[in-house]
This record gives sequence, C-alpha cells and structure tokens, in this order.
Amino acid sequence: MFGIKFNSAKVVQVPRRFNANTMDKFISSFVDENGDAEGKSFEVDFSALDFVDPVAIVVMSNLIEYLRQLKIKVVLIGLINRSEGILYLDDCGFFKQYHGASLRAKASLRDTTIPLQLVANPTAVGFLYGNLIPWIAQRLHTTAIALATLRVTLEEVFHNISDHSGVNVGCVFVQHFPKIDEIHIAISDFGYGIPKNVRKVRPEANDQESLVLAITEGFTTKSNVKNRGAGLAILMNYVALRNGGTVILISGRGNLSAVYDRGKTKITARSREVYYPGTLVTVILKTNALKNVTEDVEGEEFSW
Amino acid sequence: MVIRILDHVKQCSSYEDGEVIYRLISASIANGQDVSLSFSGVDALPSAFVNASIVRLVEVATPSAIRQHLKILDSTKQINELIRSRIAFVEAQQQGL
Repeated sequence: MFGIKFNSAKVVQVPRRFNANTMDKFISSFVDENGDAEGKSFEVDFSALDFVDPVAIVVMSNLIEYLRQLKIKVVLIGLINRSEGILYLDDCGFFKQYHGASLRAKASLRDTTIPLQLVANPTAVGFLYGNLIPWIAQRLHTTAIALATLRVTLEEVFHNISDHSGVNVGCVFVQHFPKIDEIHIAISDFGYGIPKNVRKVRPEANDQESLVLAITEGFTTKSNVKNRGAGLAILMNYVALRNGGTVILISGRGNLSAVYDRGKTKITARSREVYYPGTLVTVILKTNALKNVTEDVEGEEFSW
Repeated sequence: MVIRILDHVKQCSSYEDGEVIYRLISASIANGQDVSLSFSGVDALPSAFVNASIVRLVEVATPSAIRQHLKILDSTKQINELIRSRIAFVEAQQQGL
C-alpha cells in the first residue's frame, strides 16, 4: 500500500490556469511515481488561480480523496481570491465538498455543469439513469431514451472502476460547452491504476503499453472474470466512431487517446513524466453529432 | 420458450444482472433447445450484461449452436450489434484468428 515519503508539511500552489496541460506539476507536488505522498500534510494555495477546467476539478478532487485515504490532512488556503476560476469552483460545489462550506452565500450551480460528484459503484448506474443522462438530455433538448447508448457507454467506465481499481468510488464532473458544441465528462478513481493491474499478467509492460493492452478487446487481467476485456475497447470505439468524439485515458505514467480518423479509431499512446494516482478518463462528446447515437436505440429485427 | 428479460431483472446493467439470464437459458441452449430472449423495454446494453448472459454461453455450446438456438426479439440496433460482435469476437478467439 502507498505511504508517506517525507514527514513534513507542504504548501502547494494551484496553477494560474489549471487544466490538463498544467496538472502534472501540481500532481507531482503531492505524490511521487510510486504513489507515495510527498508530505505528511498539505496546504493547497488558490491565491493565483484564475481559470480551471473540468479535468482539473476532477484531478483536485481525486488527489484530495487519495490523500485522505492515506490519512493525510489537506487544507485549502488563499481563498480571498475571487477570480473567475474560484467562483466557478464555488458554484460547482468544490469548496462545499472540501472546505466545509461554499465561499459565497449566493454560490449556485451553473446551467452548464452538474455538481461535482463522488459516485460509489453501487449507485453509479442510478447516477447515470437519474442524474447525468437526464441532465445531458435536457441540455441537448432530447430524451434520456435517445441517449441510452451513451448511458451504457459510460457504464463501461464505472464497471471498469469497479472491476479494476480496487476502490469503489470515482469522482465525476461534467460541463457543457454550447459555443463549441461539446460536453466534457471527466471521471477519475484513486485506485491501483491500470498499469499495476495489467502487470499482474504482463510484468514486462510499461505504463504506456499497459494502457494499450487494457483497451485491446480480449485482453483481460483476470483480476475479475467478468470483464472479458471489452469495456474500454467498446467505450473508445463507440465515442470515436459513432460520435466523432475523443476519449483520453491517463493512469500511472501512461496516456492514451482515441479519436476518429478516416473511418477508424486512431489510438495514440504516450508516456507521461508524472505519475497519476489511479485512473482518469475524459470523454469529449460532439453534441452536434449525436445522430448516430440516437439512431442506435431504434428498434431493429435481429439476425445473426 | 420466450423469456422477457425485464420479467427477471430490474435493469440490464451489471454482470450479476446478466448472470440471472444466463442461469435461465444456459441449460436449454446446452441441450439444443430453442430459446427466445425478448428485450422489450430495454434500449441499450453494456458489455458486462452481454458477457454474462450470452457470451458465457460459449462455455456450454459452440457459437454456431448459440446462433442456431438463441433468438433475439424486441431489440435495438445497439443491442443487436453488441451481441453479434461479442459472439463473433469470441468465436474468432476460439479459432485462433
């Protein structure tokens, strides 16, 4: 199990623009490549924060949950700052969740986001049926039934967390970007991570190779006979081929993306300099290309 | 024999949901009897459910026997494609393709 590397208190500055491009230095201030904490307690300083995106919110939530799991105290400071990034975090419920209360009495959820959620696996399907899919349907002026294939595709992520992570809870945050016709869904767990799991059966695989194996249909770690190695492959292919969207998978020191490219799913795997504790899945949906998704729930006579 | 899925499970989501259906149909398929599964009221399926309920039938019958004896009713494009592709994939694996 992971532990504490240095027995000292640390102050960590939140980046001014906090997104997937700037998260690595932030993460490495908290945990090393073995997943051990860099201090016995942390103060997270928000005084410079100006902008934060959905992935960064899930990353922060994930890190705080991870450190709490290690019994490490995390305190949020520098909250006099009232930048747009701070107000956005306040409105999505971040400070309510991790600071004990919202910063402003008038903090309220924005139309374009759902509240930051910790979703335990037994309630994940209920969250998809009762919260997330109806919210997306309302944003896109369609029905939850029309988005049923999207629902089951996201179920693949939650089943994956349940089957592989060793934990039962994931962080979820979702934002609609109507000006660019996209919905960004960020889901992260703070479990073992995919590479560690893959190396149980392929000890020679590095983190980057482990992610490629994990999305290869038929590959299974047999940590759980239930998955048969199809869930992540289906997620990637469905989002890329049926929606033209993007899936980004980050775990340990591996990064893998799936995009549509000339009728196929183009997979690109890279190594990361910084260790990610657990697994982060980002799904970017094209809201102006949901025609295929809605057609897939139309009745059709079956034939083998 | 026609089995309406939602008469036996509240939802088609987890592997455990799929196992309920597998237990209902596996003996019949293994014995070469026809079984019809009705997905009336179900819009889409995750792979865990299909793996547990249908793909696992390869433990008791060949893919061609499954195709011969298992009928799928009241389904959608997504359900059909997932069932077909998962069985085809397992068959290809068995044949070493």
